[in-house]
Amino acid sequence: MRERTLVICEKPTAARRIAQALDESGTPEERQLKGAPYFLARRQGGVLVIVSALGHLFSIAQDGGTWSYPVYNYKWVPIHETDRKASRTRDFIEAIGALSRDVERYVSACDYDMEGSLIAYMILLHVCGGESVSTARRMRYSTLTPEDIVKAWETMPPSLDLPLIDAGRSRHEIDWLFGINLSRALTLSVKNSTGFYKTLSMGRVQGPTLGFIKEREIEIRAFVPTPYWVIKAEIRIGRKRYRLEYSRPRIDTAKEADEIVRACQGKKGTVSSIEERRREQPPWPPFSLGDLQREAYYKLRYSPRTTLRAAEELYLKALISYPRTSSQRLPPSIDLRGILRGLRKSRDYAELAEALLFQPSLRPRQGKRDDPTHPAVHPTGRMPSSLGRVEARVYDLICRRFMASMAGPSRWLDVDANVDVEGHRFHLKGSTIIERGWIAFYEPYVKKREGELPPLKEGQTLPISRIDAPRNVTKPPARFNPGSLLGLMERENIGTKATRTDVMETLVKRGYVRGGRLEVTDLGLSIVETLETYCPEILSVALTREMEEDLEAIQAGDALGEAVVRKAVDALRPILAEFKSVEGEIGLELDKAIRSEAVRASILGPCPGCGTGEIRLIESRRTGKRFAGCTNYRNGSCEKSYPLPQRGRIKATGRSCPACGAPVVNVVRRGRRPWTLCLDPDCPTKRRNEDGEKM
Amino acid sequence: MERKCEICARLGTESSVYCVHHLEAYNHLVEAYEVWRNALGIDWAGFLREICAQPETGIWAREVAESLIEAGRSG
Repeated sequence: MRERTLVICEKPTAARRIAQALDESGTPEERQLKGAPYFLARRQGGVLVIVSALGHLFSIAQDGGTWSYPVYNYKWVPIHETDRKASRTRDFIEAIGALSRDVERYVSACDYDMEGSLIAYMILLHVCGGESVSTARRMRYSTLTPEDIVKAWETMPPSLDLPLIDAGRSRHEIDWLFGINLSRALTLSVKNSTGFYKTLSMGRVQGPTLGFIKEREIEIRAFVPTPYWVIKAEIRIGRKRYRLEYSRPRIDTAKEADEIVRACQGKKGTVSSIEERRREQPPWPPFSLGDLQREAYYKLRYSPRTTLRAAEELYLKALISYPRTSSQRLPPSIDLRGILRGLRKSRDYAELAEALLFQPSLRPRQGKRDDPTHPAVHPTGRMPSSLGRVEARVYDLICRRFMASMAGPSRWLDVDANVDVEGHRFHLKGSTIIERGWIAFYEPYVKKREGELPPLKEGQTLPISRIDAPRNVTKPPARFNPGSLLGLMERENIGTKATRTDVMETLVKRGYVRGGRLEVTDLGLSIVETLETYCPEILSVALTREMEEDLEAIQAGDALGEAVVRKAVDALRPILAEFKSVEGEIGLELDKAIRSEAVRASILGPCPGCGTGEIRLIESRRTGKRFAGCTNYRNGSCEKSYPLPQRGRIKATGRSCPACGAPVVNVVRRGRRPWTLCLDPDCPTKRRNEDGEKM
Repeated sequence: MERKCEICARLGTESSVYCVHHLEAYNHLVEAYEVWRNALGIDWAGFLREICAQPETGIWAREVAESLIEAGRSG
């Protein structure tokens, strides 16, 4: 009988690619068991049974006890037992269990990272039997191209990557312990002190991240601008006007700014010196996941989640390397010329790839960050067949950045002419590209600040054509956006490349932060302040960072997972004990914030009836129906009210109807396109003329 | 008895009529007044009006400035 090997993959798409690559004829047999696809591939006289997970098939659950805290007992269980939405995973677990009965060898072929290693390990441990763990081998690959998969098969190490698995398991356990305990503590604090239930969550990384956003919000809310003046002057040379920069970028007083303007108005300047400087700008290194997410946010306005999804799809289509990487480096083992020869087949990149292939040697710019498991994100050189809009744009960004990293520096000539006007020094500055270098490869995504100057001579006189000194005020710091927050989390070493996006989304989902420009809500502010007062450790960046370092030590084989989890529990115990002792106070504080946030969310706009109240969404306790009414109804001064659609979510737009003054709202209903509505049913815009047309 | 902030529902601080956030905003106003006075030679009331007119002013700073203008009017 032929030897059978069970190959465990992370997703069905990856399983298909791996099966096609490993089957000697390239046409594996596709089958299904309990609705779960699997493949039979023939290789070297044996049969490979290639099965797939659906991401994680096992998760952590509380082991006994009630819905309270502290909780320190837990166990790993099939994920469908903890998540109703994951019911399909039961079929996959049963299918893998059945297919593993008559196999002799096991191979973990999940994505090569901590999560992938853990997914396969949990399946081996809980589905295939404990013995399989000790005999299983690990495929290590960074792309899903047939060449890489076959190479990974032929060179796989004899055992699983146990330190990586241990680190992954410990990370899940620590995150679960912190998440479940802190979230229950917050939720129960409100419920036990007021009887009101609202799910509140907090986690090991969520706390410090929310802390960053809150600190920035406080700076913004307490910001007081101060004035300054900027001297804006222009000279005319021939028909063209050029901007002059004053030697001091800011003038502190109106009097001084006025004096400078009066002294230079209508006068001529003299070119006292001209400095020319050549400058080189090296290319940027290839993308790590964080770099890619930030660049896609700034250049394409894609959220980190959208970019990650697109990159994962591109990876599963074998078009790019594994995207969850921290590396900004391309090691020598990567066949750069082979990739460029592949890109050359594309009309968009043919010329650029050709230019690089013409170079005698290819030396990509290497970034500072490295990742032991994967290189920087790069294309595989395979031609995409059909890509959606988002995938196509992310792919283009990756390809161009990859090629740009191998191109030469861009070279510039900067000119700075000093222009003296009545004892005041101005600068006339220009920049010209001498050699485009990498900019030619990354053109659509780079802003060139070029401004050529005409030929100038020392002693030349130039008439001031315009000068004024507008008043400016200082600006508050910018709110975080998903790109800048991701960067800060990376710099502070909190969370991982795989979890940072989820953490940001959870903060928005829980109502602690409003999306887009990340603005902390009153609830988010209150949660941070309450925790700062009673349990500051929860928000501690140092504690989170220390745990990250411990987890990295497990991965490096310098620490054991069990000891690190125990240390985390020891850190958690006093925090929870302290929380419990002041639970009542915390609950009352949070309840106030929850109610104030609910009131804020229910305000639809100003009342056009009384002009002083606000129109609020109200739910009738008697009938359960909802309507909009003025907040001054309670004091008897306004009876303005409007009917509302009874289904769907009503969201304020911040606008009033220009025709009747009633608030304009958005109605969002499942299965229908959201629509905008003026609340007043008698609004003139809704009346129809005799022909039945809207007026 | 616990004292509330003059502007919001938060608890007031020991040394001030404001909560910790409005007190911080007030302190920023005092610091910024020196800069505005040197720059434009305006008085405190003129400064507060300027601050209220600036879109860059933070919401807590604006609330403090408005309450000080109001207090000035009634006082």
